[in-house]
Amino acid sequence: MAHKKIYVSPSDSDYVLSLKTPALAAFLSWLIPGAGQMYQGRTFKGVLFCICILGMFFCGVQMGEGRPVYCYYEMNADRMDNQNGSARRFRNYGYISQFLVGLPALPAIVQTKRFDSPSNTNELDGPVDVDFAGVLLGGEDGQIQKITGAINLKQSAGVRGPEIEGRFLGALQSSGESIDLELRENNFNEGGSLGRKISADPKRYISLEVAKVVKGPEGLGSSLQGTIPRPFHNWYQVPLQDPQLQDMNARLGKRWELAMVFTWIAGLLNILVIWDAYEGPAYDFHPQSIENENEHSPHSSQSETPNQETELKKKPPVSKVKL
Amino acid sequence: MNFIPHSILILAQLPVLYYMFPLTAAISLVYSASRYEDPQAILKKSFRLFMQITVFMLGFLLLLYVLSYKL
Repeated sequence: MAHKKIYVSPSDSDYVLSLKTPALAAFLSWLIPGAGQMYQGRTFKGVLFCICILGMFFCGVQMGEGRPVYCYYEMNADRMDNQNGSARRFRNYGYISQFLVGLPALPAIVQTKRFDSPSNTNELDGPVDVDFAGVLLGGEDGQIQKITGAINLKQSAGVRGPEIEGRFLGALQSSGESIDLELRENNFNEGGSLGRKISADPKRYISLEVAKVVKGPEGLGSSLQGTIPRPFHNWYQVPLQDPQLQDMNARLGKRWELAMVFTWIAGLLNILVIWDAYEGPAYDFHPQSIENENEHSPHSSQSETPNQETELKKKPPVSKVKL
Repeated sequence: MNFIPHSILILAQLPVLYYMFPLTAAISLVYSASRYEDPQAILKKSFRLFMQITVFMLGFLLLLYVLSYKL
């Protein structure tokens, strides 16, 4: 027996709405807002839901620079007075409502697994040749020199494990003078030479020692620090760490909170959309028959069992459409 | 800062309030579309709801502005 719900408009008995398989439609509407309505042939509402909810969700994501959707966040040990010295982890309860948007919020779960995996190290996956923006430290007069250009990095087997070496080709921002530097890993750098592969920041931290000045003026710095781009799939919807969270709050202020509110409201509104796919609209229609072998027209519902018919008669239309 | 009336500071928050309009529009459309099936009814009801929410919130903003005058 097919389980089909047919709804009839109280103002126009020829206006019949079939919800096909409501459970499937509800699932589709959760996965992609409005997809359930499109499956039921209610294109206008499907498109409307899709634009409004996905628009609101991605508007929030854009306002929060791609970072308001995450499963949990970490606070530094010193801020939380944690005895064992490790960062403490907290659930982001806002993700519950973001999860209701469906597919667009699901990468956060995958990214959490990737973030926690042992393969998320400070090492390079392979040679990289990317843009670089940063500074040179430790020059003759102790001044910080801003530099921009391209950096080429590769990993080699060192005495104490894998080591990063590279080359920087660019210019000093102050004088525009071109420089060419050979770089190597700084073993005394406590924070490591390279940021983790997967982290909620589009920029990856890098700190290397200048091994040799191939070309450049006298008195250049001995240490290079800055950032290189991190691929989109390695930072989007990744759990936030304390410095990143503080950076977002400091730079974006209320906009950061609004960004999260947009994504939360999008998820909460999708409850209405899922319910609409499962039960139909609240006012325009009322159920004519619950279980039928075939779809009935409203006129054929008279042939239903007396119990069902009585139940239908008892149920008054919830409301009439007022145009 | 004493020479600036504090109630004027509310004006600094106005750019944030602009976000209220698309947010209210989307909420009104989705809510109304979950109540009705007919496109015309959806648009009509959502416009009415949008106006109700906007007028209510602007009225509340005005009330808070008046109450915070000379604070």
